[in-house]
Amino acid sequence: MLVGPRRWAFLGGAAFALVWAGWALHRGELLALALPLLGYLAVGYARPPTSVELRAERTLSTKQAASGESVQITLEIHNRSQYALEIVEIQDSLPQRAALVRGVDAKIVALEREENTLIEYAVSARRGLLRWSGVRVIVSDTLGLYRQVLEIPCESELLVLPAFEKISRLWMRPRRTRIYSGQVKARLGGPGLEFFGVRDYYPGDPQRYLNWKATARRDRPILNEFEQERVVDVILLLDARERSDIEIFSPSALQGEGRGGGWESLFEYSVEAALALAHALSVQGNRVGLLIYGNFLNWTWPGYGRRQRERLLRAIASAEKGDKAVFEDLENLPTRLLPAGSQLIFVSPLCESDIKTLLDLRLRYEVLVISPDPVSFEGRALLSEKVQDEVQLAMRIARLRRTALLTQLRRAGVRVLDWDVARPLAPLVDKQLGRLSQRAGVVRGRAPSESFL
Amino acid sequence: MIVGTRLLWIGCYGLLAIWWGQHGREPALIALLIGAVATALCWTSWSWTASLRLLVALTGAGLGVAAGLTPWGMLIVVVLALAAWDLELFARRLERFSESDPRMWRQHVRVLGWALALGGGAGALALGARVTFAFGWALFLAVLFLILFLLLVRAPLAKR
Repeated sequence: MLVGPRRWAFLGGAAFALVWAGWALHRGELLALALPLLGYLAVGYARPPTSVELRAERTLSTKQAASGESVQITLEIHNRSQYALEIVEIQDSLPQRAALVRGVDAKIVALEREENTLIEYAVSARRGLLRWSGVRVIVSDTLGLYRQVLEIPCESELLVLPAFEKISRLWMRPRRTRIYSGQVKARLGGPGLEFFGVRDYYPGDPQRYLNWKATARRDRPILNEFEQERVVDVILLLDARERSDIEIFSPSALQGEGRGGGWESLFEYSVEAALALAHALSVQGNRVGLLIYGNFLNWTWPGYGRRQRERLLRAIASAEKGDKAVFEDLENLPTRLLPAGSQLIFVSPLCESDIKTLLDLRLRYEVLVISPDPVSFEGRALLSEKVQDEVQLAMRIARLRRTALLTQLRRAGVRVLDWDVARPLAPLVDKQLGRLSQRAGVVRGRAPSESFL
Repeated sequence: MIVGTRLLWIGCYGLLAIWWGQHGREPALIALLIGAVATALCWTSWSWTASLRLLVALTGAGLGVAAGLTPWGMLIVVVLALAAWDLELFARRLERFSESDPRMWRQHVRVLGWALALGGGAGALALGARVTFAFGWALFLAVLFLILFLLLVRAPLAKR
């Protein structure tokens, strides 16, 4: 669109060409033909632009929304200039992840002095921290000869949390626990609920825990001891590497970002799992930290409480995939950040090259891997195609390789939950990683990690 | 408003063809053909064609004056082309937005009216008035025109 200096140049050039032709051809009438163009420029020149002062204020109907929920945005632009503005083009900076649901985010108006105008629209998003940076405003005169582009600062944030499952209990057995009481067995006798052992009675011990049968048998007072339950350090490692993700075209996929537009990403399931775990672990009172490994080292220091939970959910909800070469393998995982003896939970579809690092981590930490299954995820999309025999053969090979991979981890003592994303996560966690699974493993005389091999 | 600008273009090129018709059949046919193509371009979404149409109309008018056609007619063509060009670009600018303030149209038409009245009036005055002055005055007016022209065009460009 020919606006601003280019319009001046275009009309000025055309007028000059006519004047020059008139002089060259000695035809005064050609000079007369240039006068309408010069008159146009003269009227524009006589109405120079004034100093523009605009103020923008954006209000959101909520600061935090659920996935797909419509959020009403109201943008108010106030003209604080000394004069009226003839044409004001307003364009709000819609965040990339947001989808316009209702209304429009742009407007063209004329603004009198001290006049306001409103832009109202609604957005929705699948997940993430949506950030509005500012409002782009183009102020021009009505002839379009002057043009001023302004970026009015007006920052807003909206956190969109995807729906995630509520995990009731996750059985963990890290090497170290913290001193505060919690819900994780500490391998230490003391106040607790579950029987841990017996010991001699010392003066001052509560008599209600005397084990009378043992006392009678040993002829000295014996006391029941319970296993202490404490909080632990848990570090969630979310794999956000592009190479470990799979995207498939799914006709039934939800509309919207990530899974939307027919494309479904396995990474979105990893995010949902990480959200569910972060929520459950922090509700249990543990000290939870987060490392999102992919685009950059997105590290959230471990912490307790509601604020920490908000921080974690915010970080996970806005996680982005990345394909940085330095993070291609897990080798560059900054283990110095991870508290010694803590419980690591790695949420990843897993690549074969990750095994070595995970086995190294197992030497120093308790490692749990929650792995969205890429084979069944991709297989579902491929099986709908015509070449079924080839797909089934390929799936069998992929399945065998994945089983071998997981077995290698399990043999090293890494607990692995192979999650078929078509099924809900919470029942699977309860069944395979809950307290009952631990007891079942003990009864059968196997290590818990072997109980779901 | 878009319809109005198309009518202005049709009127502008129609008048050009009619006046070129005085010069012979072939120039009129060429003018008609160019006019038809230019008018057809009104229906495209390319906004740059408006500027091309203005240039073609200005060239047609300039050649018409050089070929001895009535300069009054050519002045009308230039004024019509300028109005059509401006209104089309303005309408296209507003078209990108779902709604527009009617005050903007009123203001624009008013300012454009002033611009065309000033330019057209000056052109008409230049064509109609017969003034005799000495060579020195002519030289002075030419230099004055050049300075004003440069001021008019360069000052706003330098501000950007």
